Amino acid sequence: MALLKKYPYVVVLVIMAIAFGALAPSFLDAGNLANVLKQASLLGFVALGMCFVLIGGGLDLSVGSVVALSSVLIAGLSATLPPIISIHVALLAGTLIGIFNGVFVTAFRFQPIIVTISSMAIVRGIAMAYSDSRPIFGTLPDELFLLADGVIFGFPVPTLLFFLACLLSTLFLRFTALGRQIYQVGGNEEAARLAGINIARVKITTYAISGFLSSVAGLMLVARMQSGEAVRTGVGWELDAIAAAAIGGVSLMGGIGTVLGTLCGALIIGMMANAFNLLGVNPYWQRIVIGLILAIAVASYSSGNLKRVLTALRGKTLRKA
Amino acid sequence: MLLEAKGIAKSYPGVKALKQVDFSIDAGEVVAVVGENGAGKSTLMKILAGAIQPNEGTLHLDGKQIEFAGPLDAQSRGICTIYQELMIVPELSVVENVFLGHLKQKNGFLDWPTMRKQAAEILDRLGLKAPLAAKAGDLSVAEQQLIEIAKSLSRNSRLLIMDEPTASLSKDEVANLFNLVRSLQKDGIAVILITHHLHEIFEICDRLIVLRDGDYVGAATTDEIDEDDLVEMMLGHKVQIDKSLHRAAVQHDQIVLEARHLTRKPELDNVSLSLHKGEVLGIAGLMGAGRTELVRALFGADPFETGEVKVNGSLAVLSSPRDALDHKIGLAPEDRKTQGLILSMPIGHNVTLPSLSDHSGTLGLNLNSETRTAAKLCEQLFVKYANLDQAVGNLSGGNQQKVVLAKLLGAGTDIYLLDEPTRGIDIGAKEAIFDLIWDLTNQGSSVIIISSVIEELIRVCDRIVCLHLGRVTQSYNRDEFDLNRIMLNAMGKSADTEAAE
Repeated sequence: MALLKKYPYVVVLVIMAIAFGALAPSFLDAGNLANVLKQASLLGFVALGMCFVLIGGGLDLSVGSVVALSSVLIAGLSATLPPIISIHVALLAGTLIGIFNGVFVTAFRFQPIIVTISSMAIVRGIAMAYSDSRPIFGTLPDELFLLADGVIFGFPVPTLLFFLACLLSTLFLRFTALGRQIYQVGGNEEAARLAGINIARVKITTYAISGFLSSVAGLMLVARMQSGEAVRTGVGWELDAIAAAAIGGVSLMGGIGTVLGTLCGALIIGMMANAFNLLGVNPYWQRIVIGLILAIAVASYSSGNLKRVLTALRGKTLRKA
Repeated sequence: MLLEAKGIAKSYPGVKALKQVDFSIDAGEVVAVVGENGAGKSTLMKILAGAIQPNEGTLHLDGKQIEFAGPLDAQSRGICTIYQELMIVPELSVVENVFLGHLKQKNGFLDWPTMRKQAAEILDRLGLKAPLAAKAGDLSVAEQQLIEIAKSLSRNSRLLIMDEPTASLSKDEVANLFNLVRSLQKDGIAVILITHHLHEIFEICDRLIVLRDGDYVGAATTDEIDEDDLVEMMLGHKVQIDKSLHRAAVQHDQIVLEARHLTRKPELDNVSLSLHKGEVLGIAGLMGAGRTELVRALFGADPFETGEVKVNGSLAVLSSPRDALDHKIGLAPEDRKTQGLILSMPIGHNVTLPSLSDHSGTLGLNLNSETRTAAKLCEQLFVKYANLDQAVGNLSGGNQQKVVLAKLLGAGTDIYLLDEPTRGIDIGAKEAIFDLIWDLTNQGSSVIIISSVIEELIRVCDRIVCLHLGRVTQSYNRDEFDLNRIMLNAMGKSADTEAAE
């Protein structure tokens, strides 16, 4: 019970894995599990970035478009430039978009939702213009595909990179002043300001991290698909990323959340996609179930509700009250 | 009598908000309800407006006993309240706001021609020149207030209750409002005015009643009594303040903080003050007097238009809280929950909020040193907690306030700006905070403290400055402290007007 209280998302993750394993035994095959991890890592990078922005009290809807831009930039630029350069250009572009988002949110005090809806449209437009809305099959080197298909110590490379990013993020949030300040700014911006914290610097950092990690997701996608594409890539990912973070206990009000939670949230969503596929369930159902899980998660995280849910789980309903 | 209340009493669990209050108002009268914060003015107004029901006593409208079913019932009988927070829908037009809640209909459709005609008549009478189609949110506060009055008149109001209507108006706008009140008066409309400002009471009101701690103290016509009598009634025979409880620190001549001609209209108007090393300086004033604005400006949290601040004798640029903290100035803000603390975060992390960089090394934060420091500071201030990782929001008000002060201590503050540090905390925590203030000054720090409770300032301060409408009205040294005089100054009586008398 203490575990459920402290890490509810871990408990849900394990229960779901067992349940899916019971329903579709092939789900627990090593090969399939590796596949789940691989798929979940892509969304995971985006969700991890979203986690920073949400903890800092912001919101970033431009992430899916950044994934798309990054994918076409890498595929397109690699035709003329060394891939290592094109990758750096794409990562830099994603980071810059994040910085722009942050500057508009802080310097001009625009609502994050408006700023990032605008950049979501603008960036998607740029990506489509650049690629002429057609997939770009670049002359990509074989090494790049290792990023998608390589295996080290039995783990797929994208997953290892994602876990590494999670580890670094955890350390950053826990052991650096800037990391702590993200929680402070998200928790109470006015109190943070009165404590002498540079609000703009902290917020811009979160958006920059989000832009950077989204372009990393774009890189991973190019490596897997061996092409870049602007129209369908990353569509709706912003919502999946928010869902993953929220399922993992990140508060959309800011100030609360963990990397571990976000990681589990991304795995839960990735696992469902895979299992529903194995079970031959209509993909529409997947959206419905994700929606339900999200609603339940958010309802139960608001502390009063969580207490009620936990009490109900223990079989003690609050009938007396 | 238009409206009469007899023997009204209202109690909430554990508190008697009103005890045996009598009140009456006749058509065409303007009556002031006066009292300190918490005297029961709002409770009485809510009862008269039908928003709450009294436990005892009766209301009589036009001589007939009556019970209001709710605020709508009272409104339909001609009693309207204009709250300090205006109830304007900013996105709607002037006409729509005037008829908010009782739009005129004809055959199931809105009757715009009638509404426009009536609104135009009422607004004309009030002297509001804004076009009927203008968005209410685009108008000035004074104009919005006129719309509120128009709203009441459109319901054929006979009694207007106005809760601090002048709080956010300029001098000219107040004069206009009072002219309007006089013309309403001529039309037989009665007005109840809640105000803290002496000159307003004596300028516009015919009569006044005074409440103190829920008790009905008395009533008088404004030509019977003068300002001193009124303050005497408001304060009553308070317990003599035991000045021996004060522990003065060694006074130094050195001035650590000096503000010269700070101005940001309308909140701050040419405020100058100086704070000596080891001194506790109190700022007395009503809400809206510019107290909070003053300390926030000194802390760099809000800008000022003109004026300068000197710290330890040299000119300081305080354009952000960071600048102030670098000058060893610390602020305990007015509202600890929304400005002082991050309620969702642990106690320890809140304590080190402004001083986190002290625990930051090349390899990142040193969490051990942070925890040690936080624990030491909490111990020093006797914060009662189970665990430093506990969310600070779970602490009691007094302990939360101590965490705010621990924050300032940890940041190495020399000049403490404490905005209402004793609000909403129990007596034990108050004493602890006074002790801390004296300890700090004995160690050579200096303190500016704001409190709405003047007795507290008299107890703890070496000097008190009175603010009213953004101006310094008077300043007292410890041996000159006088509750009644300080109250008068806080209510607007200034040294100049006293000299003129």
